[in-house]
Amino acid sequence: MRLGVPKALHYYYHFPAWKEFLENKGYTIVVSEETTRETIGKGLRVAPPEICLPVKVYLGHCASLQKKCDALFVPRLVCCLVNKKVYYGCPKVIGLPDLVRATFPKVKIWELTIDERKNPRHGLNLRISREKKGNDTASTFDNRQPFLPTIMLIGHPYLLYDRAINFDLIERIREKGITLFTPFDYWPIDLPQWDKSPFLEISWFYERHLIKAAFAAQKRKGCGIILFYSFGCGTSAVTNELILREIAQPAGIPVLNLIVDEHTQEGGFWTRVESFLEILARRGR
Amino acid sequence: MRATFPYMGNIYIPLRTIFKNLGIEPIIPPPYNQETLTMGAKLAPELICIPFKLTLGNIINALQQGADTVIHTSGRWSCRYGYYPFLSGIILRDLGFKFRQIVLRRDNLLEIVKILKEIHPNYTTIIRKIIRAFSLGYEKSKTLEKLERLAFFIRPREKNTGETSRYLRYYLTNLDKAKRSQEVRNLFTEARKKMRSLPQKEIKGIRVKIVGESFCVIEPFVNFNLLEKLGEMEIEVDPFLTAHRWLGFHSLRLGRSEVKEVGHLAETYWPFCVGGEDKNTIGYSIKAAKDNYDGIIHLHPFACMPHTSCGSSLERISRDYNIPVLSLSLDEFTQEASFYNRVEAFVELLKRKKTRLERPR
Repeated sequence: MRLGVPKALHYYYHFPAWKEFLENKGYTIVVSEETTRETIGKGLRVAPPEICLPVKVYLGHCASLQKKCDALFVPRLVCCLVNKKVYYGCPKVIGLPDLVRATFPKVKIWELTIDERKNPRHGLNLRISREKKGNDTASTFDNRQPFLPTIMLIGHPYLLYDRAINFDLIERIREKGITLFTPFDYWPIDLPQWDKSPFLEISWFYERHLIKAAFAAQKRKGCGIILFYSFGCGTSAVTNELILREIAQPAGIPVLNLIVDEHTQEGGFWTRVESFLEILARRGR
Repeated sequence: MRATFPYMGNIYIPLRTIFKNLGIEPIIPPPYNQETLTMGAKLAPELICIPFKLTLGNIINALQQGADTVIHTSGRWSCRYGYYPFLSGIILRDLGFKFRQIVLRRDNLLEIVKILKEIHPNYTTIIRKIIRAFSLGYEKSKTLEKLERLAFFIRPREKNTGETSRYLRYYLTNLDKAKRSQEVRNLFTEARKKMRSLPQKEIKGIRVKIVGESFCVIEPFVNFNLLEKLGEMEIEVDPFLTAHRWLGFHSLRLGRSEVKEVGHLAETYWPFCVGGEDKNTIGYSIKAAKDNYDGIIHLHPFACMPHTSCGSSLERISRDYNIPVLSLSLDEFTQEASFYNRVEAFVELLKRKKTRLERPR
């Protein structure tokens, strides 16, 4: 049986783990192609109008996959246990299989529910992989010169690593010779103050890392934060406010709110990024 | 202790009684208005849902009136409602307000006793106060529910438009003032007599179920007084959630079987309850379709996480059970005229459908 895996949303978190899991069970995996403008367009046509861009992209991938495979593999992350505390998925991730089923009623769906409250070993095989860990950034982090602009790009991986959505943001910033970190460079590191801080109250599984990354940026001098999120993203309304008010403001870190949706144009997007880089460079001098 | 709490609709009536009888002075800010909304929207994060913006504005009003404690109900789950106290705390402290924040969760309800211990020294008084406060509060809440349901039934049938709403307002003010359960009971008997005797007319009997996010369904400022206006359009409305039910009395004593039944119905379309009454929305929509309601109106805040994603399941239900659904999202930019334009078109559609079905072929 061929299982289709859309290349969007939590593909960027868990795919290697899923691949191993599914191939061990004897399924063939069909991964959808890279996101293009057409994929987004396909998603827009079928998705509910108010939902965030990544989910629209996900539905676009589902639409392009539906004829290439026998069933779609749509996992549902309800909650995960980290240090014996329950961390929930975003509501859209919890409802994703229902959303796909309602949108494509004729497509078969292979659903996997990860709910570690009921069964703590449930998701053990499907633990987050470290596929997207930056290659050398973690080691160079401590001995950079302080006046060179450094940027912490905070956003979900499905936005950061999808080139059609972010106009190749990471590569193009690095081309300018600027050191850029993403939350996933710090993936395995649990910062010591994490447990004592009030941000423990954040009960979303995926968003913990974003706040952790902001803490890392606070420790470093001359580091700017880019908050990269999509319009209609519910969790970022909360996490961005926390980062702005509790982490960036007290430490005097410059922050750029970079927001994308399906109508974002490349020109306007880049003007904002470049002017922010200019500001950072001047502050450093 | 001068306490305030975010409220919606008429929920303040039973809550005021409960607080007063517990020995806490309740500070009830004025009902939601444009000013509160503007203030809240200015301070709150841009993309957060409208209930947060409104309640934030309201808490500021209350703090300016002299409240020193803010009581929230909350929880730690996936919906953003769980972050309201946390987020509003940060924002208000940045503004320079000094207050104490109490968060009541489902798992730490005994916190109430600890707080009361600070006001009343011995436990006997506390227990006596709690029993009195909650019995009277329950009585009032139940009467509130009955009065509202009665008004929903009478309003479409009234001959002189606006009469029922006037009576309802009068009795609700009296209900707020009542001090004994006997008074409350007498008030309801009188209200029922008075409202039933209003001049009535024949109607088509179109019934509409209102589902959606709790705040948007209960608070008349956000939904532009939809429940009342629909009644005046000769439509019998039935909101799935009212102040009484939200307060939790319904889950404690009554309707346990109903909750189970509804949850069971929703299983195929939306098996996990995320927050913001999404599973109930789906369940009650299916129930409404099975009970031969004529239409469903789905109200939710713009960018509400659970409701934007369960919207497509609702669309599927609309097709599967052949029931018209109107989904309306509300935020600070929603205009009353455009809102009612859509509602009126929907109502017109329902009326036409009803006459066509009744006409013999």
